[in-house]
Amino acid sequence: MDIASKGNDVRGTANSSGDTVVSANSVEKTYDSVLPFTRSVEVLDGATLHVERGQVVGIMGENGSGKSTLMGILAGVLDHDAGEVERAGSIGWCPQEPRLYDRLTVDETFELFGTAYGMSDDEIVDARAWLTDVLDFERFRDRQIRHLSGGNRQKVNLSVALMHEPDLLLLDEPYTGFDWETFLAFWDLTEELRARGVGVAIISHIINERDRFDVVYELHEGHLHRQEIGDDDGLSSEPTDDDVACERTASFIDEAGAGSGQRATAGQEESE
Amino acid sequence: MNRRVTTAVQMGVREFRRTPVLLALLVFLPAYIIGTFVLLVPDVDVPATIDGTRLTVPMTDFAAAFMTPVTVAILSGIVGLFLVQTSQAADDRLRLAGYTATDLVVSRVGTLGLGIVVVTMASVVVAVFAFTPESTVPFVAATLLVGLTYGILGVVVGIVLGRLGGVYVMLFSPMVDVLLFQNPLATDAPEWTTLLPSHYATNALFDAAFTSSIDVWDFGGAVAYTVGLLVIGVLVFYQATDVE
Amino acid sequence: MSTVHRTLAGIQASTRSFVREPFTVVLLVVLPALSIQIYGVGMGQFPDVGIFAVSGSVATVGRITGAVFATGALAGVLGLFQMISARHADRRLTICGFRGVELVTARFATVAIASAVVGMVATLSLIVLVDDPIRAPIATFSGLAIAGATYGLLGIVVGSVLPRELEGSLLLVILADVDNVFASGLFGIEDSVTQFAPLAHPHAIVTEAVVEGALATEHLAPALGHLSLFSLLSVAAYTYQLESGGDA
Repeated sequence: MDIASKGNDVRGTANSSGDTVVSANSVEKTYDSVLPFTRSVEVLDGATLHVERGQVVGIMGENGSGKSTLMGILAGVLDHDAGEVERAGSIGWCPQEPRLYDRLTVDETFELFGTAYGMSDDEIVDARAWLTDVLDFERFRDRQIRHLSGGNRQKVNLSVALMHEPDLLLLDEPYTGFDWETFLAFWDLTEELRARGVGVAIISHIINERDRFDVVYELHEGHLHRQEIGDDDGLSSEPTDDDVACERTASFIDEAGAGSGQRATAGQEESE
Repeated sequence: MNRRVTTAVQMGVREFRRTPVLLALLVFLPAYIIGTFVLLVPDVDVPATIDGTRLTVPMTDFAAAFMTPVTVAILSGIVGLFLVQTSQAADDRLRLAGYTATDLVVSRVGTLGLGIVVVTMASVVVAVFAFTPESTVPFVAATLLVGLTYGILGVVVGIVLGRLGGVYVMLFSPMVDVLLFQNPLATDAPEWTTLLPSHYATNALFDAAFTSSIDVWDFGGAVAYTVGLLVIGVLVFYQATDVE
Repeated sequence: MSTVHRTLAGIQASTRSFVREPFTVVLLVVLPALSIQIYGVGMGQFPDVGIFAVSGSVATVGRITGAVFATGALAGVLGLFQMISARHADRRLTICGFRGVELVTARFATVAIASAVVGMVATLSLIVLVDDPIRAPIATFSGLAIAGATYGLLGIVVGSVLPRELEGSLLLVILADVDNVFASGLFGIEDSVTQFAPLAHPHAIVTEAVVEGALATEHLAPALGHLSLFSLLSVAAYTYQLESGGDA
């Protein structure tokens, strides 16, 4: 599968590494219950991270640890109770569930969201041609979203996040339901975006893909534990703001390292 | 007009067109409701208080005129309720993509308005088979205002109470408001019924149906009520779809 | 596991789902009283003579109408949303070993439980809100429970045939509202017509119980007839839905 070149016409201002496109500092989030005798759920308790231009960041953690909540806060669609979130540049958000309009066709979905992004008709056409080719769903362009399979729906879901070539991509389990070819195409696309200086944060359960990330954050008990992925596979970690050591991160990385060589199974991880 | 708004309304209309069951219901149900009552009510004259004047009208004419706003209120309320329910998750995303709250609200109200026009036309067509309003254009306008009032109320209720609670509210409120408390057959209506959503619009409607005079204050009051609800709806919608 | 066990498990699961919607539970308690009071005030505006052919004052008839409507509407919407939300899961249960008849029984039982609860609340509300003492509370409760069960089953039918929230709600709301107007006597429609309305006979049973203190036996058979009819329709519709895979 070839990746159509987009040339140098990059929307947004991403052009150099080292610039932060999103940062979250000591973010807290609790889901309160309005009813008496029912518990509130504290999801994030001082979560801190940053994503730089041209960086691919993985966010991992157990089911129910708050990864999607964190991503919603980074995107700005969820409120947070404390802490700061700063964003620079345009954002593309791909939520875990395809938040689309079921009775619109694929083409109409591109048109609607392209208009939302302020793209011209030609830009929408180009983006649609590019993404339907890269992710291989061109033959479904005239199908309504509700008539698509889960995997194809997810392709449209991802395309909506990518089509305007944002400075920051926030992708929540973006390859759920993808076939193997599309899964590989997705990672090729990510490399291309990295080279263009786009910051990419991906929620993923696939530990075997860790080498594709520049940095991995593990969400555990409301905190983020940061680990930079080095060339020599040695563990390189920074203490988080509250000086919690990363032993847990180290242990899961060690176990994953023992299992490397297994084929990654796209979209077969249990969703959060 | 703003490109975002026209595109969103265009897509809203397309989605609407692709729900044939809903469209069929919106056309069939007015025929069922109004037609049923027109055919089944006794063939008598009834005393009705319209615009402060006591009139005697045939029951069949009364049923046709009266069940029109009842029908439009119920159908518009339910449509408004679910319009916002079905699109809420994706509307968040549109906001993030660049739609302002105003763009979205205007688009949704535009789409809702089109649905209400369908309901109003279907209801009025059935009603005029049974009787001829004294002033047809004001009759249609007043019916539309009832629809808009309850459509916007449906949107607000849908956002605030959710789907299940919203259905219960829409089950009761048009019947209670229009059928019970704005009924011209009532002889002892409490003063506070003038505060209910459909008061001015139904007054204007009955005026148009059975008298040759048009009470501008009733129309003005109906428009003001609708605009007031729209402002509340915009605020509630803005709050629900707010992104940083 | 025996049929009884599985059916009880199904009833337990259905009831838990319904109870865990706090708003629904609040409505079950609050709505009957609210409806009774509002309809009492609303219909109390109308003259006691004229097109109405009622026994007792119009305000009392209004309260009875509010009670019957609240019971029927609550159960009907519950039945509808139960079907819409659970249709795929129910299909899965049949693959896991539940038989259709066990699932149907579980759904019916949930509707019956909800109808009984709402009927009880509505009866107590009538006892409090109606000026004169109610001399036949059991007959009152019976009429209300029948109204609830009938509409609960109608909700199952609508939810099976039209398993979409908007369209299903629209249809059920209209059916319930029109039926309620027929039953209330507000438009003086002849009994020969209104007798076919599902709420008319429960309404008459409750009216007789509240106003005369007696059980309207002549309305009991038609009311149970409606109940039986909707039972059959709901079994057929639900079974069809299960066998067709739960898809609209």
